[in-house]
Amino acid sequence: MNPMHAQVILGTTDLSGNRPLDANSSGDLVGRFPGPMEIASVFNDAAVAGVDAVATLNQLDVLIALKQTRRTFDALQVYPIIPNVIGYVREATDYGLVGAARRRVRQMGILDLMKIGVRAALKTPRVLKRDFNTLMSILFDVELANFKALEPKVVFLHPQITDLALTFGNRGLFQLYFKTMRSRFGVEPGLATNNLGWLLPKLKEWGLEPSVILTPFNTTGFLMKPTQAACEALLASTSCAVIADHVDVSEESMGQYLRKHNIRGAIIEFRDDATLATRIRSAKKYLT
Amino acid sequence: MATNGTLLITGASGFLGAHLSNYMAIRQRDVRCMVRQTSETSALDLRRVRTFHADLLDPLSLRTAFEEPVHTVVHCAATTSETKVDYAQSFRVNVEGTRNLLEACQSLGIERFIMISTQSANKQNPSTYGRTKLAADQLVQQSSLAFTILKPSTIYGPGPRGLFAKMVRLLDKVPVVPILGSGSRLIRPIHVFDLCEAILECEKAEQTVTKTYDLGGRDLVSYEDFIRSILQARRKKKPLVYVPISVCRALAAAVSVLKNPPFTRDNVLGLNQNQVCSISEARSDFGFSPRGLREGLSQTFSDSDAGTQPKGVAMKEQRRLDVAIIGLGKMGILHGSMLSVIPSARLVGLVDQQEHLGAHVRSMGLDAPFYSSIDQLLGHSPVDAVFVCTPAFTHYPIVRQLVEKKLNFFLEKPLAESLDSARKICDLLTDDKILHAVGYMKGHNPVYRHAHKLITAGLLGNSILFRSTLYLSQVFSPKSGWVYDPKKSGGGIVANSTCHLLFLLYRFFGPLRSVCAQTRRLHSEQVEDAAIAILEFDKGVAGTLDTSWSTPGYPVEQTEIALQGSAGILEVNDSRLRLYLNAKNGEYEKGWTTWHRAELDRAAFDLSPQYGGEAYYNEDLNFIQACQQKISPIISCFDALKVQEMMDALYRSSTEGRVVL
Repeated sequence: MNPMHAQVILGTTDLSGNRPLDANSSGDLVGRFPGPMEIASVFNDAAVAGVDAVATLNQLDVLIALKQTRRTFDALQVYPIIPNVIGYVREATDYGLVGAARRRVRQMGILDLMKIGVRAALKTPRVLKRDFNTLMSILFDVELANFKALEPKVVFLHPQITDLALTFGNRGLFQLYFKTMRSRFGVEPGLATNNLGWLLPKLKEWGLEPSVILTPFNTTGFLMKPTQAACEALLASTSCAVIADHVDVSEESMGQYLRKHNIRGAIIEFRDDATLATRIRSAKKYLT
Repeated sequence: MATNGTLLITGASGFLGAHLSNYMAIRQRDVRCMVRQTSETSALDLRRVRTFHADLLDPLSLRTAFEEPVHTVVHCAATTSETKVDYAQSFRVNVEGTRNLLEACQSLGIERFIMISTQSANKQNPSTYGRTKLAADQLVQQSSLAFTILKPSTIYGPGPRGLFAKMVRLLDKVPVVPILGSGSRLIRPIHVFDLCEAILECEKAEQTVTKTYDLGGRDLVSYEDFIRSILQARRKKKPLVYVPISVCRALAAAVSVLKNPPFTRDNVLGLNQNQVCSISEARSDFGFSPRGLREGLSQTFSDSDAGTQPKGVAMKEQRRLDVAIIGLGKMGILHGSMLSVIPSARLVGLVDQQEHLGAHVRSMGLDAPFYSSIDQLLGHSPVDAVFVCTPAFTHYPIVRQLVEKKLNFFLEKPLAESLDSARKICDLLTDDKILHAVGYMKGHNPVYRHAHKLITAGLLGNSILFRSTLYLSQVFSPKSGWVYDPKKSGGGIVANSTCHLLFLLYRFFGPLRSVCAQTRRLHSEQVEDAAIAILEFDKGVAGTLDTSWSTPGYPVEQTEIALQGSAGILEVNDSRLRLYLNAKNGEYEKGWTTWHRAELDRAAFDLSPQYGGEAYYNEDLNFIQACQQKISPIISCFDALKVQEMMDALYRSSTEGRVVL
């Protein structure tokens, strides 16, 4: 992706209720988005308003909706955030790690299943030992298989996996992820993180630099860890592009703040139907 | 405003100046520290900052200060009330020195000037320090510079220098603590890092130019409470003795002949004045959000304030705490992650009965020795504290083992699978040297903590009614596993999730007086999926609890509490707090005031923002710091026993179909 090109990206956390809202809003969202068609209508409105991409976890309804929208708006990019940790953790709680993996596998097509099955079979000893990086590589395969029809060009590692690997000093996972994305899937590997100020120095120490990072960046310093000032300073010394999350870029001051830090991409979340298009247009204007 | 330029700090070898220099350097600012040739600079991190010699009283030497381009000058240098009172010397440094500096800055077109003044600089304060600082402030106001004047209240923080460190040393030594005057004068002590942050933020904010701001900590306390809080933080119990001001003045005069008097006449004059500064303007203009006194003191006496504390200025060098984790499920891994970013903790052992989990967590990168039993761990590694992250029904036997070995421990919630086991755990805790904490993490969520502060301050008046809810979309068919086995987990939604909400209600309102509850199984075979209850607490507080893990729309658990009192309304959830007051009350305005999580969250790390990740970091940091300082963590097993009693009462009410008292 071109870091100088303004990009407004629609997030899907609120569409799927994955962000804590107040009690009434959560109930309202369930009523507003009972199925893929309703989600697709939001994507269509967003595409008309000029949104460049949709960033999403591997969620069945959202992927079906995206496929529908892409029939009309084929330039709309998709940025997968993999693996779907929230869904996976929930399933792991209910069904155990193996049970959760089995449920994911069931969602796949036969051909993908066979391909991944062969690859996984070769890794059987390490799978049986529950080697984390091996399990993650299988999850990458499983999750990206569901995105294949959407032809993503950039993929993001889920922030909880990024940050977990960061705290445990798991350099091997980052290397594996970068290599797998580039060589097997031909996509640009991005990292999503909620701890930018911890991640950048570590990546530098390890000699790794992703081409794009998805991270909270906003005037209030929300989720800019360890501090807003540290994140701002570190950003000045990195060459990778940044997409800002947890930011309302439809406000001019936010746009100015991001531009000041050479950020040209931002996630915009669905709040309500009435303001979506206006917010996307404003965001586009303020990021440019 | 552009704020990437070089920062010049005067008085950089002093308490505030050294902290500020290191603080700014850590934030990647180019910092030039102005010190005198005779200054002791050991508190400065000389790998990160540059020093040069200059003297405010020597205008020629000030030229060297600006040999390189400087964007902002922060003027910390002053003769303070800490030193022997000498009006002529104070006037020279504080007034003439400031004048010299202002002239140099004006002639060179310095873009930004931040004056560190003091609450003592007011017309009512007759002290030498107060009078000379007030005169210096007036010079700054008359200048043509883009200035901001900051007037902090009493500054405290780590380090061996400054008035606070002197006070702490004195408190450590004396058998009886003298309180000057009645001890009732009010102050708003500010942590030095909050002041550093304020300087950083106000430098950036254009609207602060030509303005003067009062700065203080979050808590307005009496001087006596301040002293008591310091003693508590240092785990010292000493009697207080009240010394009349007239006697203090006489004593100050007597000790003034000493080269380094323990206190001065200016100290006495200062201590006789209230410092009820309002921080609301700083809050609205540059988002000033200081920490509370208890939190600040806890961090002061620790070296573990990750990401904020400059190296080399800790009050006392503290050994890293050797910690083990028992139970390598989801919560064990989460705590492992938190402990990996807390510099004062070192993970020395991982324990789980399932040996394959050892290889699994090692493959994640968690590189600590694995043991299949607690005995094995203790036989191999010296351990200071243990995180117990196993199912509730295992807690009692594990705690018994840990108590026998006199180990500090952190237990994941709930305390136990039954009230009986919970009581047995607390019965084991007779040795108050063993420190214990329980993972009611919402008690460490900054939004709920702020709500607690507002409630306990009595802002809502009396006769509070509340509504509370906790919803989750988790159970829509029968499920298996220990969580759904009441003998192992203690129950369903109430024991596994709603216990967090019950903890908050206990924290807000105290012990439960009565409950009338109904629970229902909607999908589960052995445990309740939903519950509804009417709860009554002391002091006329009553309300409802409505909870379910079988409600669609809540992939992430959602907790909300709404309170209505005679003086206003308060609504709080994991991310936002709203207060409505019928009339202005102190610093809180009439009408709605809202605090977002963004304003209150100060955690240095967050693994899972959707799940209130900052609270996990805060609770682990609190436990580690408590163990290091040998003070009780914020949430102990005895607090958790109260929650267990609430759960038990709720279940009994439902089973017996009656109000349980």
